[in-house]
Formats: sequence, C-alpha cells, structure tokens
Amino acid sequence: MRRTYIIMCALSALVLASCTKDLPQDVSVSGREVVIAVDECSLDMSVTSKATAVTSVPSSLYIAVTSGSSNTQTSQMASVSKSVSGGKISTGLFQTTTPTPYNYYVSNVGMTFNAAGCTVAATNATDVIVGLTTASTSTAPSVTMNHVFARIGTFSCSSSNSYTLSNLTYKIQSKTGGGTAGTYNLYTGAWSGLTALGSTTMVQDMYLVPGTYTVTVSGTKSYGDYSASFSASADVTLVAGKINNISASYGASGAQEIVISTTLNAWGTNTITPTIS
Amino acid sequence: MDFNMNMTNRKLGVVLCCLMAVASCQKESQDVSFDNEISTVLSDDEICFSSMDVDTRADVTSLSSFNVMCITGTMGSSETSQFNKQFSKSGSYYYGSKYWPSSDAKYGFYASNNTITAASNGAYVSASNSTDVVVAYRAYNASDYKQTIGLTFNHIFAKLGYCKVSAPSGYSVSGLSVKMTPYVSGYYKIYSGTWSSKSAGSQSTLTTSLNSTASAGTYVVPGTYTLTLAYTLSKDSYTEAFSKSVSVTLVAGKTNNIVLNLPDGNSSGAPDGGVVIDPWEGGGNVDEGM
Repeated sequence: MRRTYIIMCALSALVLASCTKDLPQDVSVSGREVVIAVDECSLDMSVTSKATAVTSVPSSLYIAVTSGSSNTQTSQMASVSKSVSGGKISTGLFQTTTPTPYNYYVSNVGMTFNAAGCTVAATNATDVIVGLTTASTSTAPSVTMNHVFARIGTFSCSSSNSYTLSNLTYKIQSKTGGGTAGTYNLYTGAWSGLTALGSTTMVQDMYLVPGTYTVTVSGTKSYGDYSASFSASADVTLVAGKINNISASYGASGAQEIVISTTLNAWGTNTITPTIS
Repeated sequence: MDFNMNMTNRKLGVVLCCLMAVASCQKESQDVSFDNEISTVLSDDEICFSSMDVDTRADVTSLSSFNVMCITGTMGSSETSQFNKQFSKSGSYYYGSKYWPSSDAKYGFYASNNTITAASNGAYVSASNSTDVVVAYRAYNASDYKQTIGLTFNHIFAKLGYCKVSAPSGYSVSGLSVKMTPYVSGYYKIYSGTWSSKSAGSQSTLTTSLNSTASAGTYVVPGTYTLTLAYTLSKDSYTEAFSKSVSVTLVAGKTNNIVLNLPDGNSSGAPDGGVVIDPWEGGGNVDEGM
C-alpha cells in the first residue's frame, strides 16, 4: 500500500507538472491571457515592392501596453519584441474577471513609453508600421496597423498648352510638416522633432513624413523651332499610408507664335540742281 | 597820167595786201580752234551711264521672306540676340516658327532681306550695291507682347537717276563728261542708320551727252559726293575748255536725278561784217619835175 501511495503521489506530481507545462496561461492564475490579433487588411498589399516595404505582418512585432488615457497613461508593459504566430501575439498579460482597460501599442520598431502615448523614432529608411487599440478590456483585442510614412508613387509633368516638354527633372522639399524623420506618437498620431527635407531629387518609392511639400519641375519646353528652359513649382500634400502619385501640369496659357506684318516704302524721287560756278 | 596810174596801182596793191592779210588771219583762227579742242576718250574700265549703259539690278518691291533678329536689352547700345531666323510669308503675314515666352521678355526686332549680324551696340548688315537692301526695326514696346509686330522696311542705298546737262544759251558744248566716284558697299547699322567701313567703287561717267534723261539705276551709298565736269563751250570763233566740280547729296531710298545747267562762257561776241578799209582821202596833186 505504501508503495502504491508513493506511486500515486508521484503520478499526481507528474500530472501537475504536465498541466503547468501545457497551460502556461493557467500558471498566471489571475485570468485569461490577452492575445492580440493583428489585422493585415490595413497594409497595402498592392504596392510596388521596395527593399524595405512592409507588405505583410512581420514575424515579430514590438508591443507595449499602457493603462489610462490622454497624457496620464501608465506603463503596464514596456516595449518588447514578441513573435507573431498565425496573426496573433501572446502578450503574457492576463485579464481578471473585472478586466482593466488597456491600451495596446504595436509597431515593427521599438517604442518609448510616454504618458501622452507611446512613441516611435521613425526614419524614412524603414517602412514603419504602427497599431493601437485603446481602452480595451478584451482578451483578444484586434489591432489594425498602418504605415506612418507617405510614399512617393509615380510622378509626371504634362503640358497644358502646345508645348512639348523634355529633359524633365523633379525636386521635392519640405514646406509644412514634412521631412525624412521624426518622433511619432501612436496615441495622438502627431509628429514631432522632424528632420526637414531640403531640395532633393524626387525618387519613386521614397518615404516621407506626411505633410506639404514643394515639388519643382525643370526642363525644356519646345514648340516648332522654339525651345527654352523652364522651371515651375507647386505644393503637394502627401498622405500617410498612401502611395502618392503626382501628376503635374505646366503652362497656364497656350504657346503663341510671333507674327509679323510689313510695309515696304517704295523708291521716291529726289531732284538735285547744284549751282555750277 | 602816170601819176594817176601809179596811184591806182598803189590802191589796188593796198587792197590786195589787206585782203591777203584778212585771209591769212582767218586761216590762223581755224588752226587755233583745232589745237585747243578737248575730246573725251572713254577708257575700257569706265562705267558708262545715260544711253551707253543701263544697270539692270532689280528694285525690291515686295518681300516673300526676310531675316528677323530678335533682341533684348537697349536697342542700339546694349543688345543681346535671342534668335536670328528667316520669316516667310503665309497669307498676309510672316511666320518663322518662333513663339512668345510665357511672360514679356521685352523683345525688340530687326529685319532685312540681307544677313543681319548681331552686335551689342546695334545689329548691322554688310551691304553691297549688287542688292537693293531693305531693313526695318522695332524697338521694344510693352504693347507688342503677343501681338502682331508691324515692321516698316526702307531702302538703305541711294539710287542714281539721270544726269541732265543743259548748255548755256547760244553756246555749243562738246567734249562733255560728268564723273563721280561712289561708295558702293559698307556696314549699315540698322537702328542708327549709319554707315561705316565704306568702300569706293570705280570712277563712273554719269553722262557725256547733253539733255540726257536716261536713268542709271545703280545703287550707291547715300551721302555727299563731288561731281567733276569737263566740257568745251563754243560760240562763233570763241572756244574754251572748262573743268569744274560740284557737290551733290544723294538721299537713301530715292532715285536721285541731277540737273546741271552749265554757266555761260567768256565770249564777248564776234565783229559785224567784214574788214573795213578807210578809202583814200582825196588830196592835192603831186608835182613831179620833168
């Protein structure tokens, strides 16, 4: 019997041990683990691929969790990288039967806690994606991710009059709120600490901070035998998460040919009568 | 009686001597006029006008095309050429496939049926009298922008018309020649209307005939020239050769007709009738001793 008792105890210990291993959520015993489902639909799956373009949910993402709202948030989980499996992130956090509203921050780059909302330091060398679900008590909150940068798509310039345009070059520079890098607050959606963009040759698929930019088109305009250089500028507003295709139109008025009318004065007569002395 | 015969013979002798003297004087007068006669010999390289030769160069009376130079800056002093292109007629106007810029670039225009050469102090043409060169210009005017440009062309050369020489009343003229040495080419600044680097042609004979109204029709650089006149006046026994000069100013764009009225010569008039011999006066007898 004693042998049996010992065996029974050993078996019970094994069962407990196995339960612990198989159900880690249950180890927390405070409640059910929050598992974040990452929504892929916000990612533009049709973009022209670029080396750093994010076209699908990465295999790992950073998550951070806060409680509270506005600029009085409290960190519940500092930014940490978590693997994504089947579109889901196991947070390691648990809700009780009286759940606490949490703000779930997700990004492909590390985040910094701020009482006004977690931020990312974004540079346009990376296609930064972020997501946020606020005040969620769910153990399966869904986070929709978006690109923080605007993306330059195709660009062209046509003539609105009879000119033919050639040898075109395009430049872009910050005007209002734009730039190449800055700090992005996931809670407010605001940028700060921007690095402005000086006049730069515009390239398709470059990422820029959303905002207003000045685009300058330069080149040669021709009509018949006439040609001359030109340079013209216009403001464009680049939208985050969009491939911004730019179509410029040059020339407010039609080319007008130089026309000449003539009058030819005919030969007249002059009579000279000098005095011979 | 012998005395009377002698006296008669003496009278006859005197008359004969006088007649012989008169006859000899007349012969000598004719010889003098031949020795002083001046005749004009035309050399092979002279240009002859009037009825001897007529220039056939064509006057410009219409334009089917011309050269246009467009400039910016101050016309005639600090110009910059923008284009130099031939414009051709289509309908009532002239086109060169040139277009106005999108904003007023302050264009001025030169035009000519000759080649236009750009120069900062004023575009010019290099003109020779083988062509009836016409030019026009229009300095910048703000109202011209994108409007039809009206250009008025003028001839830059003067044209030689006729040289009509009239003899003075009562005189005959021989050995007539009227000559001049014209400028026939040079550089012409279109805006200022000035000539430079003029080249003279050969000396030309304008006329050798009295009262000729045949037009030469040649183009010369306008300006003041010296005509040299040579002629001989004759009236009865009077003959005198003259060499004179006179200034004439030839005007551009005009056929310049020259009228020369030769002044009187120095003849004082020939004597009336023939030689008068006072008759012997009646006188006393001449006694002769026997």
